[in-house]
Amino acid sequence: MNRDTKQMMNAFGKSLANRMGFLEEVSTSRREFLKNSSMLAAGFAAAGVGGGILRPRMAHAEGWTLAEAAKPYSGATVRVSNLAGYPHNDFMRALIPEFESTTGIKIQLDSVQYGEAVGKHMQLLATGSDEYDLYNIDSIWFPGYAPYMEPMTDFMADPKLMDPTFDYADLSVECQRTNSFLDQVYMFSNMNTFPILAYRKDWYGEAGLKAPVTWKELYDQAAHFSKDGKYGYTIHGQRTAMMEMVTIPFLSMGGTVFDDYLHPTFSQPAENFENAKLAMQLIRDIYQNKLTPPGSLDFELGEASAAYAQGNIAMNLNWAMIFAVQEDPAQSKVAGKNGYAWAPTGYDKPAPNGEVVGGYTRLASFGLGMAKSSANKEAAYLFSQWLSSPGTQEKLVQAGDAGPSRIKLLEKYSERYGHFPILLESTKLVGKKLWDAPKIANERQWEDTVAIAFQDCMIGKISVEEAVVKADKDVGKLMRQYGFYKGDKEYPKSVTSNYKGTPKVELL
Amino acid sequence: MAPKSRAYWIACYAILAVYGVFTLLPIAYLIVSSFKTQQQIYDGVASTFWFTPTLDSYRFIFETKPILQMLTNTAIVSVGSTLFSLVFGTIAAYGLARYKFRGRDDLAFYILSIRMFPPIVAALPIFMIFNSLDLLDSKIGLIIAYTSFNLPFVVWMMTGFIKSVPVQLEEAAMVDGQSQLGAIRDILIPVLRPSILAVGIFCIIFSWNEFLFALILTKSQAKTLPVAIPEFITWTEVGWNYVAAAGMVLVAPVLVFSFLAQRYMVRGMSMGAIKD
Amino acid sequence: MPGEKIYRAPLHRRLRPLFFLSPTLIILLSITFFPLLYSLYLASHTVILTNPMLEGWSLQDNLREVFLESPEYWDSFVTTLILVISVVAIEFVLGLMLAYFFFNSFRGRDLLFPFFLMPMMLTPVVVGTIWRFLFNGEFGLIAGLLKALGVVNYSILNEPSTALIGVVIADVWQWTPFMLLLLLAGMRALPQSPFEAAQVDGANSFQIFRDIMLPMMKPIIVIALLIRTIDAFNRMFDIIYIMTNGGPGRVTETLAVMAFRSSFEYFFMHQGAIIALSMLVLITIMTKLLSRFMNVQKGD
Repeated sequence: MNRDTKQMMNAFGKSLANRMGFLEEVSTSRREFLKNSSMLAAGFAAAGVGGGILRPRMAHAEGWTLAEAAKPYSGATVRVSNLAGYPHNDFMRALIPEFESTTGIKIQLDSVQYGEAVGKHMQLLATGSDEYDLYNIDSIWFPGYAPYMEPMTDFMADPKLMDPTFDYADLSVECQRTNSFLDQVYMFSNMNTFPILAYRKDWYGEAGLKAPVTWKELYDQAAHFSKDGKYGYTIHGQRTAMMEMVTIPFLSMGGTVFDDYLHPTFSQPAENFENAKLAMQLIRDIYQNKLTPPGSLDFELGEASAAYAQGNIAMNLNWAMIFAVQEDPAQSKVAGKNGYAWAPTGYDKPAPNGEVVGGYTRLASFGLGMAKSSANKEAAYLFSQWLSSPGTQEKLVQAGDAGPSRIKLLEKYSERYGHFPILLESTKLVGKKLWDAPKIANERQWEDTVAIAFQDCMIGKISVEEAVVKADKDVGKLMRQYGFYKGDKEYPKSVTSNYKGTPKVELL
Repeated sequence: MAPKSRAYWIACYAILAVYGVFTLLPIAYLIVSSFKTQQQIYDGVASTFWFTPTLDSYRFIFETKPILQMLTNTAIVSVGSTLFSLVFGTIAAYGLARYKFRGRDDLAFYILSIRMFPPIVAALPIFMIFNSLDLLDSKIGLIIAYTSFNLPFVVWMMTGFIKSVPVQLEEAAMVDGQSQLGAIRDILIPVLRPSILAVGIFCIIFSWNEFLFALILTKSQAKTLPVAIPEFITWTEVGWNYVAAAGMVLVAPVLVFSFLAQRYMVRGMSMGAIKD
Repeated sequence: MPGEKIYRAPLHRRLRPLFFLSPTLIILLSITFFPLLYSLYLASHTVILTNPMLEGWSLQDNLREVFLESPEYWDSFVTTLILVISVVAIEFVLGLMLAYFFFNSFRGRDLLFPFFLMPMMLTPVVVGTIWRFLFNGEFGLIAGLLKALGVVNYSILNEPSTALIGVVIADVWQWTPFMLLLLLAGMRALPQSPFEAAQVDGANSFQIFRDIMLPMMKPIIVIALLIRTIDAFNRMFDIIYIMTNGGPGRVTETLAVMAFRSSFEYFFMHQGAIIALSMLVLITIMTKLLSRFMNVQKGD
């Protein structure tokens, strides 16, 4: 382990950014920063990819083989910090010996719990540690990692490294976007996920009901099923999940969460306010009228699914990769009994042709990001590429992965899981149909801030209206502290959005 | 002691019984859960203590994680830090107990205040120092970190114990021609042995169960078992049976150890008894 | 004071205590000096790991943001005080009561005693999970008992009015044995003669307990209260983090949880440092007050 001691000591005086060699000599006090309003700063912190889809230059060398490509790096050890507990990552573990024997590159996997991953990773990266070569990252957290990550674009252009059969275009457009940043590809997604409504096909058949298409219908059905120790719906209300719980209905009713300048917009304009109140009221009613299990305000996504898998809940709106658990007879009482549907749209009438105004919520994908401090970048690249390659991804699906990120696999294995057809459709959602979520480095923080306000409402501490207003106010304050607004001047869309604006951060 | 009234005994037994159930029920719950499958966990209250036991959870945790290695790490780090703290802490306590000098109380308070230092504040800077000294993910590093909170505890407890030992004992030995260190070694330490043992047991418990430093300062080589336990609680599932099984592996040695050692704990802690 | 001797001796004698203390002081200084310095640096600058561009001196801004602009801080402040005071008080009373029972011999005492110490030995992470599952509204044992009493599907940790009680129960469960152990040791250490004298004078058990035993146990009581107060303040983090993660809402979010969140989840290192340093100040004040209060009562 070779660590640069000097680099450590610099942490005192110099900014962390300078140390990372990310920016040469930019040193501004916050006061100055706010006054002079250099956009650059928050730009890097906040920058979205901007622009349309990235088309990286890819080498294409006929006759390329992994064994040949890996020859110079044989004997190297690639250390990966992996997220613990995904079925996906357990399947992947079983395939690694194959990679090791082909390439002679040793893979060392350490697992870290999802909730602690970002924290632990950031500590390592910000202090310049070279502990890991690859970090398993949820794409929604990526902007925070960006300054410490090595883009993969150059490796993709290298004929010695790029696998000609990789088929980059087969990764869904949204996966490509969320894993790119400022004109560079940073990760290949190896798992892709989207919120889908799972429901008890058997119960619905008996009751002569169909999956709900509006939120009001969802509520009524949930109320219908909630009796005799059964529940209609399952909320996942823990802090990391609460924001999405309310914004999914909110967005589908036409709501927007941020305006072009990253001001939170739950409470303005008036129609947004109305929709936010409707969505909040809906979730609150589900909770307070006990249409969801009593502990559900404390549920993580996984706990919600575990509860659903016990067989006395009618609906579970959850992320696709989790369904592997509830469809596994060893872990679930409801395997094979589930129907899958799109989440409802609209409060009492569905969006016409599924044209959701505010967008369905976002797609999330997971990939391996390469640390700038890595000493084995080529070997790390080869592993990352191998993991997302069509062959490996196919083996993962065969093993039971419920969130493959390759479109062709979703088409080929559409029978494998009930939700695959919907997941396939969702990978084709772009632009208006998908929530234009900001790609910002303080993602976790604003989500938590919103969640706190919403939770206060769920437990009856504040009213629905107060909760919506509080969410706006607190997020606004947070954004200001983070350096997003500078005085009265506003922020350009280009750094707030994944989809619109120009590809580069503008310097105003 | 005065003879107790009937009411006292009724209250005594009633409270002990209630508190005993309160104390033991969660532990019983932990034990039975470790022998269940995921399904059985959710089976409901009626079958909490009535089920077909299985070793699946244990098998699973030993297969998926290097439990034995982590247990060994935990043991090495706990014992190492405890020995370290006991040696230096007792010496320092001697200085504080046997000498009166200017600023002594402030010094004693400073030492105690180290323990008041929120570990959360200390964690990141210690991480940075260790990173530059190449001590991350090493048992030595963890031993040093644990010593930082065990040492104040040892100093504080031992100061009290040493004060309760009459200084005349050592002086007598020194008059007989012993050196001061010799007197400490031959007279004081043997007298204090139960206390040292008791304080040591506490140090072992504190380090054995430490979570935050281990979480931040280790990755794989020096990882201790407490850090691995929450890893079974993941985003997609709460493997309570795995948590319980890993928890059992972690706490069983301490429970056995403390069972054997508990009478020393009370005796050691009541050292003051020997004064007059 | 007994056991102490004032040496007025030549320099090399006066340096003796330093000789004994220096290894400890060197270790402690080297472990704590840098963290303290670094915390002060963090507290007075803007350090956001995910936004490396913001930097520079901003002590006033930081203080304003934490203490004036965020009601959250004061919420957590109150939560922390309530939690620490109630936990320490309950543990002390329970521990004292149990210690008294175990002090007087009864049949099966030595057999029973080690069982009563068990919770103290368990890892807080495991304790947190145990209680989280016991309290679970769906399949938890306690919800089941409540159901038998007619309270259907009540999830203690999810109700804002009871979540804190749930945390208190878990902590009391784990740390009352510590009080029990220290206080019992204190009782055993007491000399017999005053008790015998009191008995001869015809005092009843309660009078002996109140007027003789308690005052004599003061030193060990001070130590027990101090250690528990400090630990409840600083180290109750694991249990809360596992049990409620600060929720529902922010009902159980103590300063320690808030500091951890600010530093290691949001990477506002400066805010985390300020919160943690404020904890240090707070606890220093509390311990000083506590020990002074006790000393004054002792009357010397």
